[in-house]
Amino acid sequence: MALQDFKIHMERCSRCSYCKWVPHMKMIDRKFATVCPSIANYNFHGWSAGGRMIAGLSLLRGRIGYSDTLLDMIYQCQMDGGCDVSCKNQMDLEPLETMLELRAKCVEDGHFIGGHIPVINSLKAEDNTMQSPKGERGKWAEGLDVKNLTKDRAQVVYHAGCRLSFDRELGHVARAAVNLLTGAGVDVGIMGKEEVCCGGRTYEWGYKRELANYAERNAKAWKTAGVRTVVTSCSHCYQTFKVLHNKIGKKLSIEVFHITEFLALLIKEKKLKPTKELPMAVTYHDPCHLGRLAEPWIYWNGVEKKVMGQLIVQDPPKEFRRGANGVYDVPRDVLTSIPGLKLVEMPRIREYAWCCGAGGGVKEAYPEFAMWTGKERIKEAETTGAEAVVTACPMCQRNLLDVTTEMGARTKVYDIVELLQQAV
Amino acid sequence: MALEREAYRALEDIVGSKFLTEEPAILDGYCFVWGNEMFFGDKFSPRPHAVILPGSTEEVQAVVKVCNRFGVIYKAHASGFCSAALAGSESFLSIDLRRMNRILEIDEKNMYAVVEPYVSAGELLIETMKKGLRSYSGCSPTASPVASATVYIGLSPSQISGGYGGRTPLGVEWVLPDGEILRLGSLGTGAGWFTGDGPGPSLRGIMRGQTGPSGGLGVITKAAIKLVPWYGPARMVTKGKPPSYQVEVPESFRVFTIIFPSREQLYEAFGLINEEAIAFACSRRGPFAMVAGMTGSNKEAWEVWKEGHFQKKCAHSLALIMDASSRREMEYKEKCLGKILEKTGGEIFPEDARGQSARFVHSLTGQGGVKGVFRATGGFTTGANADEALVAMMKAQEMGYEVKDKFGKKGVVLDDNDPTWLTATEENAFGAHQEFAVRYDPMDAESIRGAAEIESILGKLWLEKNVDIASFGGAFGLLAYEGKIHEMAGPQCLNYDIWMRKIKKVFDPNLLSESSYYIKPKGETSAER
Repeated sequence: MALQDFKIHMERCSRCSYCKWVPHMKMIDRKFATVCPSIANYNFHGWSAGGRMIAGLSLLRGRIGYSDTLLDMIYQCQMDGGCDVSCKNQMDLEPLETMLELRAKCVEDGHFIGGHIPVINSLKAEDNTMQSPKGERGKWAEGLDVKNLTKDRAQVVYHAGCRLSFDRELGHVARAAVNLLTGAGVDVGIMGKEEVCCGGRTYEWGYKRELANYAERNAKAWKTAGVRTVVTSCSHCYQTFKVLHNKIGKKLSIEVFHITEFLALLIKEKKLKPTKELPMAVTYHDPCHLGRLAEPWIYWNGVEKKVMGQLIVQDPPKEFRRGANGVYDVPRDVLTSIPGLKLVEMPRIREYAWCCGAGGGVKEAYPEFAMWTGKERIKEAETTGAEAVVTACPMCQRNLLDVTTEMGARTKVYDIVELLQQAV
Repeated sequence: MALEREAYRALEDIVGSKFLTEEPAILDGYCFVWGNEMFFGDKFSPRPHAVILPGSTEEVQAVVKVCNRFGVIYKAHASGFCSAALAGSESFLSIDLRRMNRILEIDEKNMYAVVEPYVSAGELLIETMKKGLRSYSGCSPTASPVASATVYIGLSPSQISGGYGGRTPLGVEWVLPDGEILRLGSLGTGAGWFTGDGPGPSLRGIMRGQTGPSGGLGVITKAAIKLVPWYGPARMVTKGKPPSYQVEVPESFRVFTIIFPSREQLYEAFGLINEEAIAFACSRRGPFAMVAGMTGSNKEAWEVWKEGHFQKKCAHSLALIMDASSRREMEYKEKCLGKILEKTGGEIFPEDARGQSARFVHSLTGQGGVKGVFRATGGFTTGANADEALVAMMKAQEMGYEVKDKFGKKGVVLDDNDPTWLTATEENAFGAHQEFAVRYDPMDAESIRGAAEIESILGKLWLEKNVDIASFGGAFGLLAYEGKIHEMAGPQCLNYDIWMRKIKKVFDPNLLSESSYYIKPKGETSAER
């Protein structure tokens, strides 16, 4: 698809500004009434989904050309999809897909964001987004008793993802995940230093080719290793394997699980038994790529038609993805299976959760904005009285940790597997 | 067209470079809004010179004074959700009041809230509900209560109990078109916010009159909004998934859809409900609006519509919401309703929890209005609309059905089988607001033309038949543009248009407060020039 294919969506934006707000029926406090970090921070209408839809149309019509301001407007956005949920609560429009195509057009037309270039170069040279030598990718698993799928075969591959593979402070989360799996008797292996990026992160920056490339490489490597299931701790990777592969016509023939989904199954089958008390109050941060953005892809190829004179319907009928069917309950179930743990909810959760701040290339290109967004989330977490924020994505964890450090906040930040490991 | 550099620098000195821009990529977001295609043949209206975001009354005043010094036309907006907020016959400085978003005070004892323009109706409602009070809720939760109360229309689905927008402002802080600050009502004498009438200047008739000057008389920077009692919980419980969230209707409320065998019986019941003062909200919405409001997509709406159930059963129906402070009060209201239905042949149409939730939420917050009017076709106009005594509005509706139906049958606008909206208001001797919801495709020239023609025909017909002044009294729609409706209606109504022009000239001697949706002195409209 191309930006031109979303012209009717851009033209039908009424400028109602619902994209800026949490769905109104879910608002409980005006301190937490906005859902879009971009408009909340930058204020001009162009920094909202509606504003970008208008900008996209302006660009197509030749009313505007590329400029630094336009690029900032487009890329100072975590692509978290909160706007998409709120808009689609009322309308049959596609703001997020439109914004994605707008980014793809920028890249196609040769307009790049400076902060993204080193990451793209790293991806091309080292198969990772962390600007680290690929030879060091498997170091997080040193000493771990787990199959190496470049030599062995296993039913399940654990995909660590770029962040967990190279972020020294977070590598223990990957280790904890593998230990939980092996401890539960799962036949699991890792690709180690042969693991490569999923390509999903840079896809939402407008780099479509890389996704297709890595989709093929990962599928081939897993086929060779004979795996039937991929499990990952990274929500970005999960969304890529589960949703984006399907979107680009490269649906995986193996099952895809987020680690929380797999652990929940193991708990249900009593292969994992959380028995140790963990008496603490925590609040759960819904990662965008595990929640609203991980809703299964619904393929549609049809046309619009009018009935009743002017009522717009699709032929064949189109089901819109409205954020309702992401992974929300499973991580919560895992948390509440831990004895003594009390889960308290923030005002903005599930499909209307506030983003951690790291997505959409913002952490790389606009770090102050990523920090500002994360700070807003920590302040929201503090209102619950919880002593920790728990999440299920290493990008979320990284940004929230950076934020709590800078704020000097007492709130701790954990990945779910860290707590579950303590409880089994 | 760019601003003179000196003017730009003067504005930048006020707000800083972060809150002022003349970048085309940003400016286009301020000249694109629904309805523009009716006036300009395109959804883009003339691009503003620049956009500025002042953060305080002092900054607004300074901006207006700079505009007067350099002859810059300007207009302020809050949510910017209509042509009147963002469009004009020529470029102007667009003042986005987004940074002025504070709730300064909620006075529970005296029942008012002091707010800045960018506080949304949805935000104010959730905060006042926590205190057992309810604020004005407009046609959308994103709308500005300050704008609705002081400068632009102010419809509310629950206006019969909560007040029509124009009835809700108390003390007001107003930056006049020349940059002076005027404080209305008790605020004008330092006596606080509690009344709009005095001791202190009471100029509400000039500030807004029937529908407000739509940006043509300076900038309102703060207003005290009257609150009324809220008998529901401090927080609504919402369940379900998008797009079908459902609210639990509180125990202190009743939600009814009532159907009647004929329009006449519906009108009779409507009048009696007004008279007996038992309603929290009372609206007639056509069958399609009901279906659109309770479904999650056009696909679903079409499936429901094809069943034919709503068209058959709800051709003449009312959504009635009642609230009560006690069980005894509710029993009384229910008994009263029973007698009204007996007298008028009405019966309760059974709806499931989803339908009830949709009616209740729309009445309370205005949510559902956007999907009700825009989702279907992308474009909407009210095809002649007015506020008057109920009997006048009934006459207006009768005149409109045939006109609307003709265009619907041609397929030029949505053929939705009686699309009128009639909602009660507590003023105007048991008055009502009525609209013909005309849904059209904003990208289809024939569809736009059809919608525009309906508006024109009805606007002229109403004046001819002495029914009312259409176009929200000059604030909305084709006839409102450049005051056409006032030219037409003035001679029948004591030449009020002459007085409006005089007021405009006195308050805005330099004619800089953008007035394309208000009125301009003779010789100042783009056509005349």
